[in-house]
Amino acid sequence: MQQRILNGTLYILKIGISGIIAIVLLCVFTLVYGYSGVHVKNETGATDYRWEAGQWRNTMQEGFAWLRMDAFGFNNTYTSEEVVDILLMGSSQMEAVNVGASKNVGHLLNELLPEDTYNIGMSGHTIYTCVKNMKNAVTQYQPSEYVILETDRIALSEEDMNLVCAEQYDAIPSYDSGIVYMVQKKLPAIKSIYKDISDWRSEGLTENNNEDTEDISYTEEYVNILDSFLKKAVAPLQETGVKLIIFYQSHIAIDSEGNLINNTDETALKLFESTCQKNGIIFVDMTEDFQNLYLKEHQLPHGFSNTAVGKGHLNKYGHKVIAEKLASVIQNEQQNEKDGEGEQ
Amino acid sequence: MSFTDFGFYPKTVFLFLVLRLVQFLFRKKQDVAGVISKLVLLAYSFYILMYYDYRYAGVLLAVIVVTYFFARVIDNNEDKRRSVATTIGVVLLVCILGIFKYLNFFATTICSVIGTSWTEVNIILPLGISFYIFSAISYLLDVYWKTMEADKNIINVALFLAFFPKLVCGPILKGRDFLPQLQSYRKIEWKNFCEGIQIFVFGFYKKVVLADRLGIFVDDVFFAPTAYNTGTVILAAFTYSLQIYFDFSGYSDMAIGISKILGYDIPSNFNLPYLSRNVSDFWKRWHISLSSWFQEYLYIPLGGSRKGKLRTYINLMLVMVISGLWHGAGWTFIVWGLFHGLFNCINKAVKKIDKQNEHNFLHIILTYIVVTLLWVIFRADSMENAMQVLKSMFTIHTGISQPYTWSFFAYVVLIVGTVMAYRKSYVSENPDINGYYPIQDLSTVKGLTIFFVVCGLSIIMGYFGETYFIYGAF
Repeated sequence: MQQRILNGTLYILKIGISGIIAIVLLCVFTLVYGYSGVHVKNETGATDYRWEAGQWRNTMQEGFAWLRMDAFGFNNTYTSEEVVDILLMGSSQMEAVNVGASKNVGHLLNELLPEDTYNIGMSGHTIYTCVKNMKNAVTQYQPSEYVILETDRIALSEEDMNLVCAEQYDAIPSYDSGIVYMVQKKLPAIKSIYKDISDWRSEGLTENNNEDTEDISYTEEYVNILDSFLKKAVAPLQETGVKLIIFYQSHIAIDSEGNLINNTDETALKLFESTCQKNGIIFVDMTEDFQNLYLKEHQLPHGFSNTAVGKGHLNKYGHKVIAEKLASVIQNEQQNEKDGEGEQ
Repeated sequence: MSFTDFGFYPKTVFLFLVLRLVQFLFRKKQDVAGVISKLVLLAYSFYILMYYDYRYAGVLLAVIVVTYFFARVIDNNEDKRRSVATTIGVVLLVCILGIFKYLNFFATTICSVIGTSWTEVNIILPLGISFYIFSAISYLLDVYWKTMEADKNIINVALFLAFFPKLVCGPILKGRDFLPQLQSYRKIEWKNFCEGIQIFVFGFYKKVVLADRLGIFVDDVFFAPTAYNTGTVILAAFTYSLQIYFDFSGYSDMAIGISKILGYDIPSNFNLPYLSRNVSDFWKRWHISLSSWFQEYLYIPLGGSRKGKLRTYINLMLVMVISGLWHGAGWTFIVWGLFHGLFNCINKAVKKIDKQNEHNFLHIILTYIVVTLLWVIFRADSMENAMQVLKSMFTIHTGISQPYTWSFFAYVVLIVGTVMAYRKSYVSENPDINGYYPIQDLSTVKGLTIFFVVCGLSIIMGYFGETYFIYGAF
């Protein structure tokens, strides 16, 4: 009996030791395969959270990229946050950890334009969160010329817009203290396993749902809420003379014959565009540029060589097309302004 | 509820604990423990099936009753009655399969030939029906040929047909291989547990890391083959050959692993199929339980190769077409079977020449290419789709370029695994080693560490979106 207890104890000890060794080995693997680091609360309120200063980000799960966040926890290569001409806001599409550091919209805009662009794109920051944070972002960075806001949805939820307008839209929490923080930071493999098991439990329900497919009725009430929402977005900029550009990057797909399908709800698009115009917001629809990318270069703006074609985050081609389009829009605006000044 | 559903795991752990408890409580009454364990396993197998659709259980129950009844009648009679009972039993089983799986296909085809139309009947396709019906037929024929006696215990017959690890995708068990295992109490033993859980995890890795990731790319390209450039379509075709292998052999490994944990042995279904030297050799290495079933219960009874060349070729073609049809009610499967039949006939015809170059590496490559091209027909949604893909492979054209990295990774895994298995087989002078399973000694820190790392890698690298087992549809 005693011998059995001793053997049992010894075996549990072996399991413990091998478990620790295995976690260490898996952590090393995760550092290369897919390491995201830890979100920490952004005290400035420009975003709900940011990454830790100088945080390494590695991914081989969706695209291949190994990069480092700047000293303020955002994905920027050479621009400091002190002088900002153009502030770029958006979701993980702008955070762009799936492409090389020199291939994202923020970096490319810096190369294409003389102005300094600062990118505060952050995962999980939908248009609702960005509009909620707009005032703080403008106060923090004081962009001198433009704020660019990325969105992949133009058919918006009335409920969420109302919450943003009423300043009741919840901030996304970040687990930057206590044991959860320590586990995420020190044991990245545990975080990765936890996330995968969560996805597994929900069996794909965590995948991005295209909001454009939601049943939204464009009543007068919807139009009014959208108007208020966009007014809220542009309000912090009105006294500064800074212009707001919202660009819509749609997910285009291909049908069985290889033809392009545009799933954008045209009614929503027109409504969004006209409401932007009404509020002095420059609206840029990337759909046509994405279509040309496919028709001329046989490339889709989303997807990577290790994921589904045309799905997920923007790839280097998508970032390039967007940067070129935004640069051209800004240059045209500047030219128009000059022409206007000349005429006066 | 399949092996890749999250919910499967807590339930199966519960089953394991129940069986272990039974083993403990009735350690001095082995007979009672045996009966209770079988009943628990049977109930769990039906629960798994009913989780998908409760009607599936009704069909399986009918098959069990038919099989049990006719096996007993065959066993208890001699001569003519025996033949009549066998014929009726087999025909009944074939009819059950025919109605659920082929009714709409054949009715539509016949009606289109005679110029009328057929309104499709909305009928369920019970999960795993092709597998358990074939097991049942083999059992009846074995009893008829007196290879084995009919089992008098209906619980044994029911568990033989319903045993959950092999229910969805096989392998196709033969009564003479499995029923003797039910005669005695199968205990859960530590050694089997250690080996079984490792085989299961390897299968899980094959499925969720390799097959499911490869499936994303294959589905994209087969959906719109004309949108991709030539290289990408070729890569997709070759990727499918990997996907179907990792998917099916992954399932088989998981089935073998779980069975082993529970104390049962299920035969291996693969033997390094992409090392085949010709198409006939491929069928000795791929889905072995199905090809051996056809060999034993169809090809040889038809006369095999004993009735002249022409008859041999006819038999081969017939067997392969039926084998194609077994996979699904569709023209793609029939054409796929036809081509495999054709290549089998060619192989028979040139066998003497082939023998001289048996170990030629070129033969392995050529066979792999042929098999891969035929997989295109198998995978396609229709013959039109198959032609589109094949045309896209053989005409130079532009389109989306997708050098899918998981395909290259999967090739590396396949090649390394094959070389290791081949080496192991060479070192141990055992030609039957059918895959690379680096089974560790789980009583050591090293063994446990490797096992935990493989488990972790399976989850970190796995794809957990909406997936399915390819052979689960058959």
